[in-house]
Amino acid sequence: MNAYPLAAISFLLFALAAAGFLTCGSLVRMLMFLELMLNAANIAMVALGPQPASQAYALMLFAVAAAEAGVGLALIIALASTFRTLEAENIKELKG
Amino acid sequence: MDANFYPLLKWILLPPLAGFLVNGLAGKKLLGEKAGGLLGSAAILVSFVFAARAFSDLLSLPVDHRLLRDTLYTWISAGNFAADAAFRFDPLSAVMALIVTGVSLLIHIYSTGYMKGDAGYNRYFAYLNLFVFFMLVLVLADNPLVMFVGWEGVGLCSYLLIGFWYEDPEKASAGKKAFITNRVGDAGFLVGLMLLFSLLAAAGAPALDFAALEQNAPLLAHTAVLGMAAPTLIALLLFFGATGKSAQFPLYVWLPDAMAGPTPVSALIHAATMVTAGVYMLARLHFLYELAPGALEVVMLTGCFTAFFAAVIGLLQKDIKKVLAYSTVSQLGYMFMAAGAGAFSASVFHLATHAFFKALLFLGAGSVIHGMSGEQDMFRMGGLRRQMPYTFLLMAAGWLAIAGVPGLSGFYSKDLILEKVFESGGPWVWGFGVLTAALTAFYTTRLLVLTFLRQPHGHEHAHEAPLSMTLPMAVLAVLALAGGFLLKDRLPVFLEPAARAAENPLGARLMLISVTAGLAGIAAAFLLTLPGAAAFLKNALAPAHALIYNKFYVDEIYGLLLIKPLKAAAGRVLFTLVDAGLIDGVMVNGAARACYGAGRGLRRLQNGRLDRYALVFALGVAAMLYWII
Amino acid sequence: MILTAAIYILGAGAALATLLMLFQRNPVKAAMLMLAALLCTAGIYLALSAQLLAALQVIVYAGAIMTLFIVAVTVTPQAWRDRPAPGRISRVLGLAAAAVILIELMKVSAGLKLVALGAGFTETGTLGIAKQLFGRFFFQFELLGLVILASIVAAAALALKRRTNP
Repeated sequence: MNAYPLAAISFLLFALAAAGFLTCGSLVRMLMFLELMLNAANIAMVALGPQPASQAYALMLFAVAAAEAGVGLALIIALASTFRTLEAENIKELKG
Repeated sequence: MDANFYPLLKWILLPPLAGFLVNGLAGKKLLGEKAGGLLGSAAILVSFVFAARAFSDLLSLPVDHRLLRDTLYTWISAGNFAADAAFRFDPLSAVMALIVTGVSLLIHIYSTGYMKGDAGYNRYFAYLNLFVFFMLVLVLADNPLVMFVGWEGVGLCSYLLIGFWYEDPEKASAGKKAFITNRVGDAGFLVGLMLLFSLLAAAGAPALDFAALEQNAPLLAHTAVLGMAAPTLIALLLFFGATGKSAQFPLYVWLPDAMAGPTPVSALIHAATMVTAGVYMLARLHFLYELAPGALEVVMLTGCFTAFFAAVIGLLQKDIKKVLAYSTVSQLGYMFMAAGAGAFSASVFHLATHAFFKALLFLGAGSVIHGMSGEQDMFRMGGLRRQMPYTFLLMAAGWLAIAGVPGLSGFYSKDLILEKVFESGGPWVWGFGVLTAALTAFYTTRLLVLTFLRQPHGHEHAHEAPLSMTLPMAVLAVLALAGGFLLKDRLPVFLEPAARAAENPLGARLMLISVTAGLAGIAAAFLLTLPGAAAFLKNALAPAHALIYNKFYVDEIYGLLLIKPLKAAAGRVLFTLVDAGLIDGVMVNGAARACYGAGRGLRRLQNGRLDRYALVFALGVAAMLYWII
Repeated sequence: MILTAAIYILGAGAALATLLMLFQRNPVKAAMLMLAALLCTAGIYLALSAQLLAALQVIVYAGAIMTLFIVAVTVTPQAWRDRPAPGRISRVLGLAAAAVILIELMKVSAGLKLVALGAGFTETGTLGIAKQLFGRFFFQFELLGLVILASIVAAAALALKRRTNP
């Protein structure tokens, strides 16, 4: 087995998650797809990287993903209580 | 070349520069009048002492190796083009440097008296020192580029000093006229220099110093540019620059107006030194002109015409300084005539004697104006010999010298020039030269008679100048009287050791004719300035009188042909179209409008929507990947 | 052989779960599909002989993060109401961007066909990972501690703010 199918799997997962991220329009889902994108990148890391180091790095990426999810969900809950909506379309505080 | 390394040269240049900086920056508040004038004069004195020292060192060298050099640093280095900030001290530079520092010193001393009480006293001395610095750069330069720096610098100082009393718009505009007219000539000079460098570089000899140029100039003898031999074209372009700086036809018009400046300035810049820069340049580049006989002919004819033309205008001027200004133009014409005849040492000889007697005459005129509290019209003077006996005697010395009375300086140099002109230019040019000599004698005599003799016109308040003014005049008078006799054999040999003085068999007869012409001019002036004779002539020859009195309407013709169209073009095209339309409209306001429009367009993108941002970001990533892979 | 087959099957499963997520209206069901994708990923890790990572994937992702999502979805009623908001054009553009990214990534990784992977199931390299974490990546690892601390503080701050702001 060569490395290409693994790369292909991780890229496919990444692209599907990216497509979901770009099309769903809801903040919670966007965050979910973001986690999946990170996960796909993690697969490529573990499969293709130099062995012990890549696993160590993947481990640290888990921690980053967990932190991101924590802060992101906290933000979403705060936003939901402020704007009464979670549709990205309706949150336009930064409009120029 | 190392043997000739002479670090003292920069010390000739530095004192005037230091004087300029101190007087210009700290002058009025820290130094005050007395110390400022003293400092300015002392700077020139130091410079003169160094020049004299260098001169004596030069004399101690063997005749064939009289050259001292001082290289400060490499000024420009680009590819195979390299120019050093270098100075040279050879016989020609030595003569010029001594004249410049010597006459400047006298005029600085004179100025301490003349400018007493002027509001811009320190500024005046700062400018004057700066002028001396640039003039020394010009005459000591070792390559044409450094020379050009000096050339432009003296032009700048001339402008500053002509417009010294800038509150008077007429004087300020006279300064501008001098500057702009010079600029026309400088354009020719610059084009000539660039042509010379580029052709020499193409011929494989990019070195720039004068020694190398002299060696390499023959390489160009067979090059043709625009259907002309390259040396001829270059020589003509450089000469065009010289007509601007040295006030030759057709660019002489600024010099008479330049008399708006303080009189010592007219004496120093517009008689003795700066206006002779063109003559010096021709003498410096004589090797180039010797390759271009056609250009030499143009130089001679231009000089001859200018000499005669300006002398005719000088006949009827009322303003004492204007007479001297036209006289200067005329005498410069003499120098160019000599240069055109190939007698560069004769032209430098006349340059030297002219520096003495014309500076003397100007200083005398300044003394008169000073004594008359600013009056410049000769018809309101008269009989001043009683009130100003010293000035009268000293000016009379200058008068005799310029009129060509045998034994005095003007006689020797003028005679030498006329002899050379006769040899290479033929009797016609010589004839005009002699006629000009007669006219010169006439108008200077007229000046003297109207000013000092005859009846006074009610100005009992006129007073003699102080010692600080008469003393420099006395020194100049001695030089004007004896200078010619002392220098007549030494200077040409010093300048051109190789040339032998060939006796012209006709010399004595030619001399006799020109002396007669001069004396006739003097006699005629005494007669024709009698009130009755003057009025009779004025009526009998009214059209000619009007023509000459109005200076042949040259200024008016220039105004009509050049200045008016230029002003119209500047107003319509440059101002309305380019400045108001293109620069203000399109560029300045356009830039603002473009920013505003772009901001309005981009504001729509900044919609605050996260999903849109993400989309744009993803599209950007996709485009970048597509682009790279 | 069996490992290769497992990787393919698990990869296909993860991709299918993600694809279904795209069309799932119900947020809790979407979260469940995401859980499926993450578990498939854990399986891939296992097949790649990264046993520690597989275990952590189950614990951290499938356990902690999923729980957070479920909690977030349940406490924000708005998450249930949301519509597929973006317009048609931006949907098409988003899909196209994702497709282009996929194709380009595939193209660029074509060179990987020549790279052979070490076959077979090997002993877990936990000691090696530990040596990396506390040796080579020690500084990064400590920094990561700071990141997590910061995120805890941020989450707490946001939660407190929500409580003080009615």
